[in-house]
Amino acid sequence: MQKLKFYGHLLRLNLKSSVASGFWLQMLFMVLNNGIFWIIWLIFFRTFDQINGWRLPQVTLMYATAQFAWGIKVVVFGGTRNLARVISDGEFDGFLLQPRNPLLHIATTRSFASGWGDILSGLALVGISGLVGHIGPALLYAFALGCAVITFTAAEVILHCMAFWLGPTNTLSRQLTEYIIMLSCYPQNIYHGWLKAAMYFLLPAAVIGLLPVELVQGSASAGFALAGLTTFFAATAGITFHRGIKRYIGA
Amino acid sequence: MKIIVARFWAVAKQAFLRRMSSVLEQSGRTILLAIILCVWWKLWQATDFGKFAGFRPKDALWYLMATEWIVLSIPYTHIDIEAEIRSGDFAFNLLRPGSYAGYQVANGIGLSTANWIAIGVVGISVTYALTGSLPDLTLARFASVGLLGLLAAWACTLVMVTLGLLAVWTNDATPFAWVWQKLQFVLGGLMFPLSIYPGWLKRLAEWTPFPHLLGNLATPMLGSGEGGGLLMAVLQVGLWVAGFSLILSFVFQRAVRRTLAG
Repeated sequence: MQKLKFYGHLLRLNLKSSVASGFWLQMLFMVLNNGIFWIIWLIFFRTFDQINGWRLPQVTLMYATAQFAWGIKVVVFGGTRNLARVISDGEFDGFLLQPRNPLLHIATTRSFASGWGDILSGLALVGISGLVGHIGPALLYAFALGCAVITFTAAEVILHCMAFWLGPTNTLSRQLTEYIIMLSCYPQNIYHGWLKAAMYFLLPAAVIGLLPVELVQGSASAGFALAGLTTFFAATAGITFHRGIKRYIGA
Repeated sequence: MKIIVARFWAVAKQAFLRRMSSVLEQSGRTILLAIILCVWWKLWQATDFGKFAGFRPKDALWYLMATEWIVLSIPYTHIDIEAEIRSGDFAFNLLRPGSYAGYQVANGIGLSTANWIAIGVVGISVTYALTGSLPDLTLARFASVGLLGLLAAWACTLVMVTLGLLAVWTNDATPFAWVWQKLQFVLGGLMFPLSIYPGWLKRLAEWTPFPHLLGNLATPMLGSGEGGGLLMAVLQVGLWVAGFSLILSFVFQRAVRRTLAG
């Protein structure tokens, strides 16, 4: 309970500090940024009817989920964006010495104002998609969104943990995370074979973009796959981080 | 004058050599380009292409390669300027001989040229590997598309420096760059040529610099006589370079005045 209070307090402090510095500018421009990009899909579906069965509502929900989940991630667990730098610069020692879970502590040390723009635009686009209008799909979507947030965070932690073995990888880790964000914004039902496998297990864009849409549309297997893959990524992130700590202490 | 030119030439050359030797920086952009090309190639294969204004999938991919070649060559100069303004280094650098804005432009030109080479090599190779053929263009026309793209990337470098200087007022330039970039994507015709846009959006886009610095330059890749004359394209890019230079000069003077007054 005391630990929860600590992380809650940390989160409040971070939110306050993000509001103090350019909050409105970052939030509004992020909403604009996401909205303008969505126009590309409007133009696309003006010319083409569908992409392997997906039409504008499905693609809008997929894009909304990627924005929404990333927004929640950078607002609540913004600190993981700098994890590789914290490890390679030696700042990590300070977190290891404290009686708190170092991963959760680092994750909650920062909050990005731009994330609120992602959350707002995500919410608006979920509404525009028209696929989450009733209580049933809304509950399923809430579950899928939670899974997408965990998967985004876990994937980022895994990528940043490379710093334990390879040294300063902050730029590379951030770039790889951006690839996941980018791939989550395009329909993942266009891939086959090893590319499809990569979208589920390597750069988990399908877990963030495709499975939530399929779940909301009533696919039970998508729900099981979502729960299973989210657990897999969360567990892999935890194991990788703890192995990394062992190596860090040993070194 | 000769000394000033030599100084900026040295800055651009150093930036070029620095970026060329930075494998990590280069691989980040080139891998991103390869992913984008693969995603869109898959997308084109999953759609009914007969409706796409008579273009073939391979033409559309070469078009995308040409627009991405320009966009990914543009350096993120605004981030460096924003960081200098936040840390106070900007005010310190104003005391140095030579124009700060000129230094940033020269630095950006060096970086964008290095990016342009790496992205061009990877982009042409990946697009050829995916489509199995080259665009229906003469070698000279193909080279002109590339060189005009480089000129457009230099023009956009002027914009990135201007956007970076806005941090003097807002402390944060990145949000402006997000919106500029996304407007460039949509109004410039990054993914599709403007010819398939709805009439009102096409007309709106033509009043902005974006098509002249992006889509119009790539349209020769679509074959079938798409795209205007070469001279007109050079003239349009040149006019935007002049316009952006004037805006940069105005914003820089204001930024200096505000910094010195503060």
